[in-house]
Amino acid sequence: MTFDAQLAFRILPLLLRGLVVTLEATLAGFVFALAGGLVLALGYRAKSWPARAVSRSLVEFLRNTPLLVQLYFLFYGLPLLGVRFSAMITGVLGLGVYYSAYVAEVYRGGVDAVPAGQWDAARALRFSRAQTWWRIILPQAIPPVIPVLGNYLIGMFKETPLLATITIPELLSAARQVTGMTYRYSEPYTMVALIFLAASYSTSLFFRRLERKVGTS
Amino acid sequence: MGRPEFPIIQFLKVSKWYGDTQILEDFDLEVKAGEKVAIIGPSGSGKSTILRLLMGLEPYQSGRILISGNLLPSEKESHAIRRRPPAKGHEVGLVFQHFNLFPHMTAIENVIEAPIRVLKLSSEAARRRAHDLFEKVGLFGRDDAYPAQLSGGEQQRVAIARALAMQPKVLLFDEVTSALDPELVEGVLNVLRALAAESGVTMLVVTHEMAFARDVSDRVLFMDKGKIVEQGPPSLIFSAPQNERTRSFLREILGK
Repeated sequence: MTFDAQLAFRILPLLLRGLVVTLEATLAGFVFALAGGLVLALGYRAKSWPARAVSRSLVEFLRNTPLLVQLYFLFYGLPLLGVRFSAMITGVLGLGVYYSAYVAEVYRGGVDAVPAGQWDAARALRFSRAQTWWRIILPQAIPPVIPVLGNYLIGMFKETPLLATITIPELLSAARQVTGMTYRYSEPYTMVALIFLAASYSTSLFFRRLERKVGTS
Repeated sequence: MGRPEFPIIQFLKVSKWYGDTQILEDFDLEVKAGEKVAIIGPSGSGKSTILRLLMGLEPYQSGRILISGNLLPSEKESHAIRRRPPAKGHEVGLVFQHFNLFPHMTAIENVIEAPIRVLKLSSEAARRRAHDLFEKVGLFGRDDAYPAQLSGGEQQRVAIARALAMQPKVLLFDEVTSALDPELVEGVLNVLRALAAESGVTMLVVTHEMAFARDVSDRVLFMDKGKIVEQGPPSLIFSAPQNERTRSFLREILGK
């Protein structure tokens, strides 16, 4: 196998355009997961048992079916139900919904770690339920789980090649396009791996620094 | 007290279980507005449960609890206790054994948060109130310290100020010096003594500090196994207890 460094350099702009799509999908999906996970985590402790049951079973369903199947379902299934989204929106939705389940579990861990006395104190001061969550519980529950959330962000980023299967022109698609044009495999895929490595590793360094900062405050 | 005879707190045949364990059994108690009541007794006798019930932190299974004549409903869905909305109009405040300060807020933020959010006070008014209260509880120059940076005694002073900031009609103190280092106990007790002496607030004080109970209260309840065994003015309970269980408890705790 040969590696043509010049070719690798020449296809870089094309790959980076794919990377931009990958990053957009990752960030949008992650924001969705952070919000969706919060809704599910609040659902765990909701007043009504149906809300609790729905949250629980939704999380179990999402965690116990493959992301690829969920993406196919959204991409091919929703249009049959008359719901049409662009591929990109479908992809973001798929990643976001799937990771909501994991993020919800992370939040739950953080919430469970807040001592019962904090709930008692909030109640003794007559805070409403919403005030108790936003002012008392979540500010204590979330900072300790930020590193774990960071891991899921990286995890989600590395799952984005699945989006190629629903026609989203992300990084892996860009590489495949290159192979289609040049019949060269080692350069594009090596570059894809290096780009993933660089992006994931720098993100993990960022979260490690954030963890230290949160830990010392 | 305009109406000193009006019972601000009434327990009528209240029973409470934790699972299979009965904590209170047909418990009756009336407390008049402005009265200072000390509750003593061995651990597990149900003393703290009375305070937690009044605060609405625990459900109870039968009987009735009235605060200012308003029913505090008994609760069948015991697991849902933290999910109920806070009771409105029952102006009860509780100071906890372990302070339960909000660790992510500074001392002053701990005190002003509820007046601002719940009582809708302006930030300035809440801060003024907090500073008055810090003076009252003897906490100076620690406004911007986080709970972790405060001594136990300072933390409990913040917690007392936090409860007072809501201007409750009934103040509940749940073994507020039990978690303190011995040298810090007396300072906090003196804050409570001053509070009891000067204010018309109704106080229920669960404590193991007998000298303090004697100083601060109009009436002492001795509880054992979910019941009031004996009650009366402190002079009587401490010098001439009638019940054998009261006598042996006091002998043990006072070491005589």
